[in-house]
Amino acid sequence: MAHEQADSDELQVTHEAPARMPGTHPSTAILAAGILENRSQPLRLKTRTVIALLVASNVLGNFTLSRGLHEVGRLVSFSLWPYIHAFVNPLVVLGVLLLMVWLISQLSLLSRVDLSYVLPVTSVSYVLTALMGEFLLHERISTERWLGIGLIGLGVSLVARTVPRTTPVLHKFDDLPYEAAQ
Amino acid sequence: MKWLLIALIVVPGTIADVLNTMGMKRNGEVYDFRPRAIFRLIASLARNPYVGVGVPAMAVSFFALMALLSITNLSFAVPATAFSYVLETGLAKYILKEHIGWRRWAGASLVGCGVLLVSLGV
Repeated sequence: MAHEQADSDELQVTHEAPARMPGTHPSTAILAAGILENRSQPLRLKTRTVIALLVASNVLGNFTLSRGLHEVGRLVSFSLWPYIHAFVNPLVVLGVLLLMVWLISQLSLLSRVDLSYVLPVTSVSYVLTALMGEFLLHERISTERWLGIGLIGLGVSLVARTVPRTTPVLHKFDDLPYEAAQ
Repeated sequence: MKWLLIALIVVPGTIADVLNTMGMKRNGEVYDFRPRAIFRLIASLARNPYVGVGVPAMAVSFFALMALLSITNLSFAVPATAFSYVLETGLAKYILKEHIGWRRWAGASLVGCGVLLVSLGV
């Protein structure tokens, strides 16, 4: 196959890639385009874009999973069967797929920035989850909850102003994509 | 039962975050998000011992969350899982050697308090 050829192409375009980064555009459209065209250019996402992807997949994943599980019914068991049975529900499947996107973006983010940066900043998802509960699931938000949402927002804005990474980078080509840096 | 499930979410979840961070920092920074690169990433992570323990711990946490979501409201289930902000910030400082200034401490504390209010203010 032309596998080696493709790899060397990747290396050549890598150095120019930052100039071609399409700003801060949302990543899902880019990801979808990448799947459809199977293009060989590295798909480089900015840290902010990965955070947005992480938060979106987390909120939507939890939301669809919650809807699906309420349809499935009570699920507290130490046997695996009820969990497997829950996967018949399409909302549960969609929720799990979204949470897989969340897992990959979480791990990618942790490879670049501090855990103590990732955790507070991605807690924006709790605020969005509560707001979705209010507006889509019609769960009431009390005054205390609004206050909590305000505190989370304040905390996130504080942490977002710190330098994202304070630990040393363990390899020397941090500008190259993962596979090229090996 | 609700609180047992919350413990099953928080403890393995905390361990998972710390181990995943250690594993991913050793893995190197991930920049390429094409499907093929992601499959390659997954293949290399399968051989990463930190992530190898971290992700299953995350799965325990995740199944406990699924169980909790099936018996409580979304607005209780999700925020109640987040008591661990300050704890994990401390672990990040002492185990992961991250530099944590006043903004991060204050931010983590505010987020923790906010999460507490969101989960208790039913």
